Amino acid sequence: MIEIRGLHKRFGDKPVLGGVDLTIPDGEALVIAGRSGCGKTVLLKSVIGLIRPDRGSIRIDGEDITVMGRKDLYRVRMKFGMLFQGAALFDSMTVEENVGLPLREHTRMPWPAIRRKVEEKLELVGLPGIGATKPAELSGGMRKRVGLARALMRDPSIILYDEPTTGLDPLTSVKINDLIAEMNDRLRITSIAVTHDMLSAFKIGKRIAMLHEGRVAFDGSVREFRRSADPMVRRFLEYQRDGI
Amino acid sequence: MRFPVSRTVGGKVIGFFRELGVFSMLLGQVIRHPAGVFRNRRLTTEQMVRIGVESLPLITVMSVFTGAVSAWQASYQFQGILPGATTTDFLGAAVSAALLIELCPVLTGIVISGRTGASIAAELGSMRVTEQIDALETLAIDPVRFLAVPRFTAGWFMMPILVVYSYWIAHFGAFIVAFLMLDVSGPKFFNSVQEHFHLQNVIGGLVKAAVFGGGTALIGCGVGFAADGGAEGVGKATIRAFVLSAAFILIADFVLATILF
Ligand SMILES: Nc1ncnc2c1ncn2[C@@H]1O[C@H](COP(=O)(O)OP(=O)(O)OP(=O)(O)O)[C@@H](O)[C@H]1O
Ligand SMILES: [Mg+2]
Repeated sequence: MIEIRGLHKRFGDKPVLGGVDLTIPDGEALVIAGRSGCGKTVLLKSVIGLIRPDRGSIRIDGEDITVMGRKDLYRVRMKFGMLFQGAALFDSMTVEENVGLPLREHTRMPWPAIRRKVEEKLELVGLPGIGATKPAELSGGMRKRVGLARALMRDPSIILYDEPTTGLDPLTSVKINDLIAEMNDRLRITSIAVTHDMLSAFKIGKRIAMLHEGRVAFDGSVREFRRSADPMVRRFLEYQRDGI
Repeated sequence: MRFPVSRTVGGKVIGFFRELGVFSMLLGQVIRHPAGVFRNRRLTTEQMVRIGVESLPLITVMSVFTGAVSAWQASYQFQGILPGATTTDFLGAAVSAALLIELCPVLTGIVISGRTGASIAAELGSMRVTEQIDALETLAIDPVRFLAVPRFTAGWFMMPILVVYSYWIAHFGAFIVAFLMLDVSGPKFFNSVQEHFHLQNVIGGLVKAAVFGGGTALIGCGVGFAADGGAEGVGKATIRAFVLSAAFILIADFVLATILF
């Protein structure tokens, strides 16, 4: 379970998060929506401890990561997988080395065994047999799927997705959405996804939280979100429709 | 805006010390990972090969001509100071001491700061701006251990080796000029080198080399980690790494000279 309480973060004199409260039970599929620049990525990165908030607490299964030292933080991070907006594959390594890195670094498993597991994960994301290629040779959609395979490598119980479908063609988006929904349905992995794309949000989310002016302005099920009469939500949905 | 000059100077001074603090902190983090060197031996070897291969051609050219010009210049400066016959007697010794203590370590250091320091900053800078360093963090892999430790180790370890290489090439360059252009015979040149050879000079030169190499790698890593602002930020980081490490080498050279010699 993830409990975020009173989270504040500012950069210089620019407030970004101004008291975010959010509770995410195990197995939840949460989508975080909101305008560009409203702090969605900052919130996501705070949850995995990449950004230290100025104030407030983030408890992961009861442990507050905002006051943790590096060692404990790394231990808690072993529960997480994260898919970055640009996939963030290591471009000096092959796909295989990328996906296998978490096991190579954290276990004593021999490389052939790691390779077998890598191939398994690559198959899961629909990219079997590309282990030997370099990230630079892949398309944007393929990179994201490799990034997902890497995030899944340690069988995390929580996955964070930062705009998993932005910049992808509709067909690839559908594939990625299905994959994300499946992770949650089949493996009971808690998923938190940041997205602009409402189609994607409705497909992968069971619950939607909307950030507005540094706070959670809406928090409810997908159904409630679509039917909400809240002018702010309506405006966001209309703006989305126009945007597409 | 009443004291613009003092303000900018003050700002620069504060900036300099803040910078110094950042690099000292990074140094502290790097040397806290002694076991990391062993665990990272594959990564470290990669970096060693890279530093060697990357810089060898330029170091070769630099060394030949540094040796050559030192011989030529020394013979010119001796004119009128030493009687004609003695010039050739002392040429080897004079040139050799300058190469061992000063020229080879410093110039190899500058080459390394332009090749290796800048390329480390470019590589880590682009990893920073494309979130690859964040990705390492999320995989619970310490970027300092994974990226900085191997580069730092390779830097201080490889530099002395490159400088020894540079010593040989530079002496060869000096000898060619002495032999072909200044009429100094081979035995005369090398006897003179040998007679006035002090092991202390070589050790001092190699200590300098290790400091320059480690410092350059560390500066490259620090600047790369701190990069932001996309591709433009990476370009800036590259230049900054070169400027800072070149300045570091020149200042450290003076400081070490006063301590070692
Ligand atoms: N490291 C940083 N330094 C300074 N400002 C930052 C930093 N990270 C984020 N910000 C600022 O915080 C605000 C929120 O950024 P964030 O990336 O979270 O937006 P976002 O909601 O993810 O937007 P998008 O949907 O466009 O990705 C932005 O205005 C950004 O300028
Ligand atoms: Mg974002």
